[in-house]
Amino acid sequence: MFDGLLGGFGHILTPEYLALILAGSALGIAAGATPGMSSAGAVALLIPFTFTMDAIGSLALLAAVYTGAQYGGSISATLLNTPGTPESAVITFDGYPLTQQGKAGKALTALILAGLVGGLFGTAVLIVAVVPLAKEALRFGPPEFFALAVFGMTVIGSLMYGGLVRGLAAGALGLLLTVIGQDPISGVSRYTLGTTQLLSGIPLIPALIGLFALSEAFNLTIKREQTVTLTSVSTRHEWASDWGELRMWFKFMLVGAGVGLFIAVHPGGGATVASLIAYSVARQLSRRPALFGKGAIEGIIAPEAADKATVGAALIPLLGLGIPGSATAAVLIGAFTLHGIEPGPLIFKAHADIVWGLFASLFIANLFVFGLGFVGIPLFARITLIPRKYLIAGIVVLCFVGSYANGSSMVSVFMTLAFGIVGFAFKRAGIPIPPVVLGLVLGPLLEVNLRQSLMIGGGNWLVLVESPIALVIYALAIASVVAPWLLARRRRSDDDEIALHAAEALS
Amino acid sequence: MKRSTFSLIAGSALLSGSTVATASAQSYPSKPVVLISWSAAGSPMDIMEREIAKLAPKYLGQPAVVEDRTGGGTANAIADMLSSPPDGYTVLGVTDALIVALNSTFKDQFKLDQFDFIGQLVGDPYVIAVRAASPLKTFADLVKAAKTSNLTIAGAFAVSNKSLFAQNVAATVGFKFQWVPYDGSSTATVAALGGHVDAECANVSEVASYVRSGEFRVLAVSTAEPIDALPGVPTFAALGHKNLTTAQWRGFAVRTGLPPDVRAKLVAFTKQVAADADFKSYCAEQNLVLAYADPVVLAKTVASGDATVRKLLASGIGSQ
Repeated sequence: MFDGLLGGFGHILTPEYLALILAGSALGIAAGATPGMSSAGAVALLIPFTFTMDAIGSLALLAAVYTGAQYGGSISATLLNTPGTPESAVITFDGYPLTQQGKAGKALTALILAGLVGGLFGTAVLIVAVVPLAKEALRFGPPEFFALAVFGMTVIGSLMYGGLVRGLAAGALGLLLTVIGQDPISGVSRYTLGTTQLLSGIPLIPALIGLFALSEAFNLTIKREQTVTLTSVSTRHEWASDWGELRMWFKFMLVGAGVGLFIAVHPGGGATVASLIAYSVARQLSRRPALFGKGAIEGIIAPEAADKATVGAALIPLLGLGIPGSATAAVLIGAFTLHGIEPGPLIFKAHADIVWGLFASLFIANLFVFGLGFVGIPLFARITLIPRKYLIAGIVVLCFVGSYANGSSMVSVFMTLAFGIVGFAFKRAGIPIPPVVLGLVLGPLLEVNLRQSLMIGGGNWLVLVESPIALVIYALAIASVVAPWLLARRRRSDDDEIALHAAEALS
Repeated sequence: MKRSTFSLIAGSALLSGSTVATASAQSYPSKPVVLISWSAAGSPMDIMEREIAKLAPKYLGQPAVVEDRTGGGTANAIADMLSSPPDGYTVLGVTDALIVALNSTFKDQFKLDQFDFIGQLVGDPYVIAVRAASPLKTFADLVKAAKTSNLTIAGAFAVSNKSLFAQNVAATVGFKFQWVPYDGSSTATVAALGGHVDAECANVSEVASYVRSGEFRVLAVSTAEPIDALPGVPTFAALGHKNLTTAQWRGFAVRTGLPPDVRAKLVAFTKQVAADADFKSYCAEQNLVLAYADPVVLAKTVASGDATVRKLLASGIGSQ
């Protein structure tokens, strides 16, 4: 294996390939930071430019774009409450509050470090265990995915800062919106108003841009003060304040990376679900769950590490089975096929040099993205210093350009506007927005897997609890609802112990 | 809605439009031809169109540009093609999935008689496959299992040419099964490989690599004769079901009303592509069966496909 990896590095470490990876990393960060341009979209857009390259060069470039985009999305999520990619929506939950508290520098430093740890972890696991893990991934069927989605929904509990009723109502609205579009099981059109525009449902990206970014732009117009008060802004790199905090950072990086790996290795999970679940797990393990949604640094560290770990993890089923573990990996299949390479178990025999080259370039891309992001932090963070009136105009333009670019149609622009108004109304009414996103992301997962489970089980609901994996996940879901309540009761004495037990139970 | 209304108006204004088009037809093509793919860059349709685009300078004397118009469940690409001027510069890559969609999802949006099918290039036969560890060793085992248990077959989408083929198999052979739809063939393959469902209905090009790596066993294939990609696999015809000899075809469609000489050039181009050595090697690489059919033959395929789809849809889908 080390021979293979060394060979891969030997192949990649030429000025041309390194320049490609550097360019890809920078392009990826820029694309990811742009709302409307998801990492899948960025990779798809670049594929035509790789037609004339050789296979290794083209995959190195695309892997770098993929890696960069996952980070770029979190920058705009943190600084502007504008999720650049769907998977970075969860970063807005705590990243933007941190920015509002003047801690943008610290948030960005934690993010870039979490990204590096998560990315390297995902890549390392990919290299070591791609074939056995790809086989393992097959054990996840509809009942297990349904259980996972139920677990994901429990995170609503941590996001109900508007109160129980408002939080649940917001989550229910998100779920209801996913009913729109073609019924995934029977194929019947639901609430599509007779048009083809709504056939594939409410598009996630315009909804996210509207709910978070545009609504925040509206919100800023009625506020008198700057996003953050100028005197307290940190735009520099800012590390953890002491060893204890740094240890906490690393703990949540590893937790997040583990969750990201676990979810993305199973085809059908994907980066957005992974980052939401990582957020939920992080809250359970945190010593201060009440801070979540209000600027908990672990609330951005874990999802970011998870998100970056999915890059390597999504390639596990792609290379091991020929089946993508995320939307972006699905686009990458096209890049393989264009070069006459068929992803799947035979790739290690037929194109070993290309696989090792890809692994090596993923490593290098992670380092480059870290380097670029690290150098760029003071620059990015200065965005918070831009006067409000220019910032608002900038966000609004980005929102509409981004949503148009995403759907290439005015329908997504109107969708963004509608969601912007809804998000603004929610903010004024004190209804939390994150549960809506949770519903939007997890709704299809819940519906499809529940109905598939029942079809497989011949209509018997017991099929949902027959699988041991599903039972473990349900137990975690129950723990996630009950634990905060227990914690509140036993906070003073057993705080650490419970967190430790939960950590052990998960590992 | 707006787009399809527009295309209808454009279609009814055909007479005045075609005189303008004929004037330019002598020199056709005088600019690049756009080949629209309704699926994303790197998808099977996109890759096939890019192979064909490479051959355009050789046979058409002009380059061809592939444009991926995704979204709306292929509706965006279809609307684009139908609303383009009838000048032969906008060509849509289609499969018989279009026939299914026109009878279900797009029933109110598009009509079959808006399309002019200019040629079929390849065919991708259907298979019923199970994972290597499955107790179902032969097609007969599968039929027997269906009579004693809730047999589940996975495949792409609720109503698709795969779901209809599986339904056709069940109706022909006489068994019942539960169709479990997935959001694409790759996720259906995961379900079958993981043993969450009993079998998968897919195209040969989608399962060939899993068969080679020993993870999938194909119980039967819908070709007339056994094929090299699936050694030792019986055809449905050999099992006594001749009417199950079919394949998912891929070809090109334009909107109706093209000037005859422009149309003739596109028809000739499609035929030249099918005979080209590069295209043949692409087909072999992708496990596709080269199956050229001219517009007359293709029109018959479309009509009979349309009739089958109507019949199957009328009899109910995915019922237990």
